[in-house]
Amino acid sequence: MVFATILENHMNRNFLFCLLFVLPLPAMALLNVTVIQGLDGEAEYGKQFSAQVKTVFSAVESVTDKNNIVVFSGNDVSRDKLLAHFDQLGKTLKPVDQLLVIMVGHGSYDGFEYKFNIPGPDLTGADLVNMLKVQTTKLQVIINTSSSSGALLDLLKGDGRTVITATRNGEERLATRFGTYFTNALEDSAADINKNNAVSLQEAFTYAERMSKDYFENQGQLATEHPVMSGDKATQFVLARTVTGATDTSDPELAQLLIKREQLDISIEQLQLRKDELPADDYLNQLQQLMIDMSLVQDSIDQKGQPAGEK
Amino acid sequence: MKNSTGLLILLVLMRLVSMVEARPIHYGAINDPGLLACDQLDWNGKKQQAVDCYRSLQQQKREPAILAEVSWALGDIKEANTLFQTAVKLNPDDAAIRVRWGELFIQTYQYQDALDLFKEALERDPENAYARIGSARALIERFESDAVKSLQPVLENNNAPAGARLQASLLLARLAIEATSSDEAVSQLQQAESIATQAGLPKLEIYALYATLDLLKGKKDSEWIKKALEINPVWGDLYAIPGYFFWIGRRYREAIDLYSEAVRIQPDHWLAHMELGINLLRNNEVTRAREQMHIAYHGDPYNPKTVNTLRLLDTFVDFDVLTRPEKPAANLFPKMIFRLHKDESPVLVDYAEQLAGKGIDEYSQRYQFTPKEPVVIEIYPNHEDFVVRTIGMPGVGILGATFGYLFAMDSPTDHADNEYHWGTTLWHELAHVFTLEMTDHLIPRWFSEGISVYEEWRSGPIKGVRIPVNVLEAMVERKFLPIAELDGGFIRPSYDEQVIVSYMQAGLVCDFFDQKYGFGKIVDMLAQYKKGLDTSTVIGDVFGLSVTDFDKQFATFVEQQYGELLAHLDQWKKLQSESIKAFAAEDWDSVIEKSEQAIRIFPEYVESDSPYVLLAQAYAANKNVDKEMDTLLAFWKRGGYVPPASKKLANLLYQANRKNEALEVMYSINYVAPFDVELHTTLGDWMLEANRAEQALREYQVVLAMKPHDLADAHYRVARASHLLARDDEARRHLLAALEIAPHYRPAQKLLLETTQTKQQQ
Repeated sequence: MVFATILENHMNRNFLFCLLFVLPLPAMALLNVTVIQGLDGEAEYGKQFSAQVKTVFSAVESVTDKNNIVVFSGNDVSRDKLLAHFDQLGKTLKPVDQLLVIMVGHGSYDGFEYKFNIPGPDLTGADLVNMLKVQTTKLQVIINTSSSSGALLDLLKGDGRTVITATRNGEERLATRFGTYFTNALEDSAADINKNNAVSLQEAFTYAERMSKDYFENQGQLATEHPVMSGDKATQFVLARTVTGATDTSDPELAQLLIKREQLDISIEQLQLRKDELPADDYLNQLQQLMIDMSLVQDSIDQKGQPAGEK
Repeated sequence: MKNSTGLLILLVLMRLVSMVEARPIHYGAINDPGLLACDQLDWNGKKQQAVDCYRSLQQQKREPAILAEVSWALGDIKEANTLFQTAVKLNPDDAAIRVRWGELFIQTYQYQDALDLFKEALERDPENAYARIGSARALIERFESDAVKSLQPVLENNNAPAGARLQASLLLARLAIEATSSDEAVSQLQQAESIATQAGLPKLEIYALYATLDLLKGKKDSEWIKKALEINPVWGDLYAIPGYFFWIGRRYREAIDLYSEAVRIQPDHWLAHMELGINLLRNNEVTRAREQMHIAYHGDPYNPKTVNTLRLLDTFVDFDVLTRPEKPAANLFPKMIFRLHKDESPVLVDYAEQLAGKGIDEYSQRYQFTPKEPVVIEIYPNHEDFVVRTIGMPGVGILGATFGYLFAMDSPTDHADNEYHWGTTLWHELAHVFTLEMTDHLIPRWFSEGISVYEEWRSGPIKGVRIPVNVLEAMVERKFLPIAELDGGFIRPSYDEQVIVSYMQAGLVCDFFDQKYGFGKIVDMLAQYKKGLDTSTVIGDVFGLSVTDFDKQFATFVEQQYGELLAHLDQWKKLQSESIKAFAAEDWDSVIEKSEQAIRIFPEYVESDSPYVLLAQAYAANKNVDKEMDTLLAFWKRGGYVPPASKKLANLLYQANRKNEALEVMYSINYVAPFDVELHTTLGDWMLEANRAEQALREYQVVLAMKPHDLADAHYRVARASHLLARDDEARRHLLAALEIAPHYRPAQKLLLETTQTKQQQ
């Protein structure tokens, strides 16, 4: 389960390789997810927000235990409850754990302060800063799909945190479409660009950003929102798996095949890093051989009923 | 589009800041002997003396209104504008100053501002004839038909100043020339000449208009040109004025010759350089056009037409120029040349080539005319760029324009509503290429448009006569024009919808010719127009009818064809409205009942709010798939092209195993909304299934060119089609590209193993 949330880049694959086969038992990292659904304002938005939260829940359920997912919606949402919740998380989560916060709703910005609209006092940008400041987890992702959410960028970015906002600043105040597209990405196989049966944060953002841009272009309208992502952990962070299936690690032959596939992944990435140095023909010949090897390994894995892609 | 509009505003503002432009002949709205003396030197071609004279007025520190005229004459529009402003402040009740200020605004293309000033002048002096003339001029520049109303009273008022009456005659002469009423034009010019003689006013413009009439009749050595040159040998408007009439008559090559003469005798005639550049561009002479626009810009950097056109030319580096066939046979020119934006050419070029190639073949055969040059087709993703390319200024709602062998049109990307059938526009414009070129551009506008509309209906990509409801309403109100006056409905419409009504009338006239007399008569008419004959003569020669008799026959035809529909139009509108209301209420049985009744009355109505669409959705809601499909098919066959409806129909046909029809319907969407990854992917898949790998490959290549989100899949599909076509290198390249993005993509992995194993076995 833990490994589903990591790691697609070369360094981390090596790390995974070591964890799996060199170290006896690695410390188990935990992905904790908090979903906050704000006020709808209009019934239509209420339907949209509820649908988005439902999709998010279903998606993250594929990458973490549902006990690690907390949803605040309707009357459950209040500033005090949220502050208390994050205070508690700050005490219980470990540095190796991961924190994902997803905020769905309307936001506002008066030129000085961002506010996320919830029942009772709104949640301010300063509240969010304080809520995240007390967290010890190294890997934090915050996704805010509300209007004016871009006002949070400067406040929240840094400290290795990955921040996604639906708008590029606080001045983009109209209700956004980004949230719908972002959650669509979690269940649309087209979002899975690298076909590894998992949708990473990067893939979901790319998908939603494109859909949002296409929407305004197709409507012949000036875009009223420009999604932004800051931070560099997006490709590593898996939000959803589109194919689920447990690995039968008791089969030594399958384990060897998985190791072989992992090694091939590393070799492919290493070759891709050298692409510009190699003559084009050499590069393609080497790539072809690696891909043939990968395809043959996957054939063997398939015969054992293990899905392709995400490990 | 928005940027261009912003640019225009900026340029207009800049233009008022500073500009160098010739001042039109001043016919005395401001009466000042000192100014008149300088003007007379200018009219007589004594340029340096005129400049010295104007400068001496400046040194005399005359009143602001006179100094404004002087600055204008010396080319300092900024200063002229400021001085007029000051003059108005100092003399708020002086109508004449506002008149002249308004005329300055006309020269800077700010017609509404000009009209406002003329209105203010008339409020101060209701009898000010120059203000009425100014209003008329501004309206004429905006191609509005109300202009004449202001002119006639001035002309008939013997107490009006001679300069105003002379201008009224000149403007009426211009309108008459535009309407090809040369007798009327001559009559007006004679009157103008008489007024000018009596009042001692300049006759240069009168001579230029007489020369225009001669030139339009083909008389190149007009005596009027000689007479004008004797008075002023460096007056470029002598040629620029006829040049204008040639270009609005779509005789661009002759316009080029005339503007060339204008700049030859007056090298600092920046407007003529600009018009020369624009007309060269219309003739696809891009390099020469650029040279002329640079000269115009050098002389007057603030003319918006010049700047807009230069900026447009700068964007040409973003366009691909593609010849088809790519390598024509020896001694043959390519059939077509496309200028398409680089972002769009991979998507559009094949569909455009297919349709244009078919059109050229069909038109060549039917009209018995073979193009003597390649047909040049330009498609612009930005509508305002296309309009600037057409007239130098943005802000006109047209879809296509043909200049001869070259036509330009809007790309579907600039029409987000998916209601723009770009294939039909291409077909329409292509017909103009034939009708213009086979008549040496002497075809009247109504007939050229009529044939293009007729071809849309009878041979275009969506066949069927499509008459908008507002035109039917005009038919009920009997707003069709007599054929001899039909051109006026295009050039100077007298009510909002008259242009579209005129298009439809012209199309119906051609349909009438075809149905009653046979298509050959249309070709005969074209041959007659090539001789320079007018419509009355051509109708007489080809059909043996007077235009009056023709109008009667046409009215009978319209009554026979549309009388029934027109009689029930109100009932149809009521049913249509009720269908829409029932649809909103999800009362499907009522939608079915009302829509079916509406379709029975007006089965040809296939716009996006057509009853067919409502009916199909009602059947879908009732889960009656067969009827839904039948309804959508009937809609599509009558020319309905709403992409979601077409997609639905194609998928229903596919599910019903009517795969060839499904393909045909899906393919037709390419001529409405081709920038759709799902469309091309589906087409590719269906074509592959139908063993049409070559066409499938083309569809997949289009997908790839659109840089879709799922790039790995796009490469994989190209690889798959290439593999089936035994194009191993291409297949390998795309497979590896797919796997490079998505190493675990199973279909690509499997194809890789298949292709490499196949190769090893070989």
